[in-house]
Amino acid sequence: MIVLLSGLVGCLFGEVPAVSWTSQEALRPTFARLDLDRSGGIEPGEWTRYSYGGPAFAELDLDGTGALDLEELIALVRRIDPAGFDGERLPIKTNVAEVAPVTREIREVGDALLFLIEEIRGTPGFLLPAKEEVRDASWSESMRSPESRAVLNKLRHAWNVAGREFPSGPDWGEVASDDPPGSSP
Amino acid sequence: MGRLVLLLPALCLSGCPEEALDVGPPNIVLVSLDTMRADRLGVYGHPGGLTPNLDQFASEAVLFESAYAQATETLFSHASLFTSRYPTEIGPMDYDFNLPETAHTLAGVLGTYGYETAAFTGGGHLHRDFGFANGFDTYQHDVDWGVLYHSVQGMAAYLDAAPIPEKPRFFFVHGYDAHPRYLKPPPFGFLHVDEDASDLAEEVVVSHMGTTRVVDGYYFPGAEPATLVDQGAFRKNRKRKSLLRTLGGRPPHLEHVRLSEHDLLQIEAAYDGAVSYADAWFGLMMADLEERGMLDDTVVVVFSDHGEELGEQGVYNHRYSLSDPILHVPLMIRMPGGEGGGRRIRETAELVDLLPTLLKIGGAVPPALARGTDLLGPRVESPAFSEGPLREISARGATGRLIFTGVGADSPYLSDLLTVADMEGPAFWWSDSLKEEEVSKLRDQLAAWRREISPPRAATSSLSEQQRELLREKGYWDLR
Repeated sequence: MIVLLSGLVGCLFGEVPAVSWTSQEALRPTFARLDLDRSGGIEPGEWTRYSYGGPAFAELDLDGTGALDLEELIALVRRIDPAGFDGERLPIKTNVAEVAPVTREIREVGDALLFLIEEIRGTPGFLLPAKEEVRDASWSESMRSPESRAVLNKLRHAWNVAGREFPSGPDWGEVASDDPPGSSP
Repeated sequence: MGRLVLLLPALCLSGCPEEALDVGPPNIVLVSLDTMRADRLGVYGHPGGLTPNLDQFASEAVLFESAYAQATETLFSHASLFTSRYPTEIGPMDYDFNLPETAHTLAGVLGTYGYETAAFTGGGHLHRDFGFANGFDTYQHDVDWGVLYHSVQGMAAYLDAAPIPEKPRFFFVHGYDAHPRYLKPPPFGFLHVDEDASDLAEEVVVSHMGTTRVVDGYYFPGAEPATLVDQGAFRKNRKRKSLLRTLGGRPPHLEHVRLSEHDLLQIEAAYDGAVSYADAWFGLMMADLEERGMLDDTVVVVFSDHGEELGEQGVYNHRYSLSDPILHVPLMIRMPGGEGGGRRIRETAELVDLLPTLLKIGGAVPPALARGTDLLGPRVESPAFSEGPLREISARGATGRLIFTGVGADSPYLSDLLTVADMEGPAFWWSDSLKEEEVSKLRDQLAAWRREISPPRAATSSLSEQQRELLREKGYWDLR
């Protein structure tokens, strides 16, 4: 109700709620944090601790008073372009191996097969498909390929050993269940 | 005098001055503080006074306590909020991801409804190559990985050149201030770092990509981050154990050194300095708008596209996992003149809610396919859904998060695997705060959400090799 009334009063008198945003107010809290001795200015001793990579104090003390005031701090913040302020740059080692392009289908088949492996990893009594088999299946780009059928077949057997019902995926369920364990595709 | 003077039109029946009735759609300034964790703001509970300007802003704004991003990276998160679609609905989450020209974007719709639209961005993943200029009359991305220093001054220059608006304005202002590298110009770089920080901590903070070379408290100074931890490590690390243990121990061939607890706190303090830098420039932006007399007829919205892990899972980054430090983001809406300021909304909000909210404010109708709902209307508690490029999806309810790992939301096999996966197996992780029935409910909601969204099969990319190289330099390696 108070809000409604104040809005009505504001409307009637052409006013809006008082807000105050100035550059001085924006930087005043930072200034206060730097002015450790509450002297009203930032002396060289106070500045040193925070000056990494910045200009010399004398360059910032525009009026030469020996201490930075709020306006000088604002000028500093507006002055230093972060894109040019870079400190020490270590060289980038671009040693990411060049790899052949991976298609969306390769990723999807690979992700699904790895998922089915991870779900039952650690259950004893069977062998999981070899890494190379999974890679070849992924690169076939299809769950219906001979490579994928072979992997799925092993996985179905492994899931059964683990006492889990093998999921029927949208394009692999009947393929995997048709092949007896260990048979070649 | 601004165009919007009237705050409560319904109460201003016949006694108001004539000009007060001249109510057009307000200007809208949408500010994206890239990589800003919600918990760094005083109004979200941080005790350190890092964000005095944002805290002041909150007193004039509606604040959403439980706002979550839909993705962990700038590219996917912004594409999602600009379209009110989940990332996977736009395209597969790799770096060929692109906002299609046919997409109905926030800027595009506002433009159709008569808005003048301009973006002042930090480039990088918001480079126009990714399709983000779609719908904007003006799109600036002159400085790659630019910060508010650049975009706020870009907006000021734009306003200087065209001070008298012919139409309502929609401005998008974005900066990578809190993004790695955290170190910002003095005095902010070391504003919160202890005087007795070690040389080692300083090296991590100062060196290019330094923080991305920290894993499980070890610093690998010469290593390429992609060789330290890749998506595989996080996918194997489903139970959130040590990454290095997941990888089989520290890579013995790489030089490394153990960081102390104090060193790690100093790295965090450098991030806090970047937060304060963003806050200062946000304050300067608000001062500029005030000086131009715009705050009385402008809606200002502040949010972050994602947060940042600060060592919670052993790394300093934001791409790996769908955790709260990465997905819980600040979100505040300041109406003209600060009307209704200080209100806090507890119910879960998603960034996809921004588009319908801002379109309603602008008098526009949201596209039919928009997923979000009006943030300022009645809220019904429902989970926030998020996707990571490293094959994770999650649902975040009011009391905790459920994550499903191993298959991306765009996979045609997801629904089947989600159904069959063992809750006690490696695919699921959930917050300790969740009760058993809440976990089950979130799982059902996640499955229902996946059934509802329909990933497109075709993907396009217009990313240049040069842009690709810039991304690699910044630490973004291929996701596939």
